[in-house]
Amino acid sequence: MFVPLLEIGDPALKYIGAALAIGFGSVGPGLAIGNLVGKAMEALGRNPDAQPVIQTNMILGIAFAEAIAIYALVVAIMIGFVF
Amino acid sequence: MNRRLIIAGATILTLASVFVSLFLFRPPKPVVDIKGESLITIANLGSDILDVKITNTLFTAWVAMALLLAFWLFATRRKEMVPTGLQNLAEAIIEAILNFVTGIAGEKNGRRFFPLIATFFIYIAFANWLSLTPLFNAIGVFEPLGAEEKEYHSRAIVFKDGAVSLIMPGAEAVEPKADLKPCETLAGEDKLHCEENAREVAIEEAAHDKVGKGEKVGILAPYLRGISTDLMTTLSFAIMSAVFVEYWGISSLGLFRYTSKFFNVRRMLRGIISFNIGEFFNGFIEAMVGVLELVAEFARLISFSFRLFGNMLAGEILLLVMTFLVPLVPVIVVIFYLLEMFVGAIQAFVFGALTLVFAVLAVSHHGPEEHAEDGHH
Repeated sequence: MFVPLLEIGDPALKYIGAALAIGFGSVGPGLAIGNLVGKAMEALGRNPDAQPVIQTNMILGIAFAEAIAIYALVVAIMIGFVF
Repeated sequence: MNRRLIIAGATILTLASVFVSLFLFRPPKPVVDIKGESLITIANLGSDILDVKITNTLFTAWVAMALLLAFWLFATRRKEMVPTGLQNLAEAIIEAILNFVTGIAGEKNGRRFFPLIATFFIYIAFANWLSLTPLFNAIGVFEPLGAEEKEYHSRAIVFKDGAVSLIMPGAEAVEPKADLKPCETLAGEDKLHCEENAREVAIEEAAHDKVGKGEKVGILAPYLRGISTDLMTTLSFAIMSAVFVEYWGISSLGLFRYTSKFFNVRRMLRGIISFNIGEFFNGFIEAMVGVLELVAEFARLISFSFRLFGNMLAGEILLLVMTFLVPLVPVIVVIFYLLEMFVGAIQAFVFGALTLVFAVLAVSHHGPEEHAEDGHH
């Protein structure tokens, strides 16, 4: 007879949910940050004099992309510890 | 051959230390609490939200303010033309921030924005670094675990009797697990009572199993806790930032011109008057873009507060986990401490810089509409 491994309402599902939230949530920001830094390095290679401007804008852009991962992290923490 | 032996020895030593630390020094669970624990309740208004209380994050914020104030007063006590010592440091900090702000916003606006941006940067960075000092999260008051505080159940710790407590490696964590199954058939008030009773029984059972003489089960409400790990602090920073950005926008563009960015119906009305469908449609899109900008203005609050809060909370959890994972190899924790110092400064910088960028956006004339009108005529 088929016995389901997990039932709806199983507390283990909570941890799977938290893992999925942070796991999938960090894929996009990871790609975004990689792309951002890559482009910034390209720009630096072309124009090393503009280093302060490029660096500032790069860090700002990273902060924006990273914020999305942080939302996922907050959701995961809330699933894991609060609810 | 010799080197391989060393590597193998080091590996075995590391694994052994992890093994020993996990089984001998069983730590309490890392503390994860979204809201600050209240130290003193000033006014009890019956509800958890309405109560006026001094939380540990508020207290820490005051401590940080006092320390910063003392530093700046001390540094600028005897001002000299050729700065030395602390005055030199203070001037270097101010000058670096002023250069950054005027570089982005221009000389006139930059000097206007500077006080808020500098305050954000210095205060947040200092508070974040302050929360890495040893007394944080360790010394606090004992709070007996009540049955109604179900969110605290996973952090129950056995305490020695006494007002001031200290989390020590080796303090034993207990987990009162309430059996709520029998309550499921009940409803309403009865269900709540049943659940509360079950939790009380669970606490008593846990206490009976693990607690010796002169000890009790409870949680620790630390006196000092990093201010950015409380959402209320970061949200109030975000509200301050938003209020100032709106104020700067209105004061330099005028109320009507500034709000026309959000309620942009001029072109749509023109399309209605002249019965021009294409014009009306373009105007409709412009109006919707204005609505989106209005929504973005509020979404900014959320992203501002959650960015700082999430980063610092994650950092604190990371440090706790690392501390309790390998307590005998402190080098690993030191590396993460350095990382957290970097993150704390970067987040403070990002907070100030984003406020600055939004302020610059708010005071600048919005181009597309002007262009569209130019193209039309």
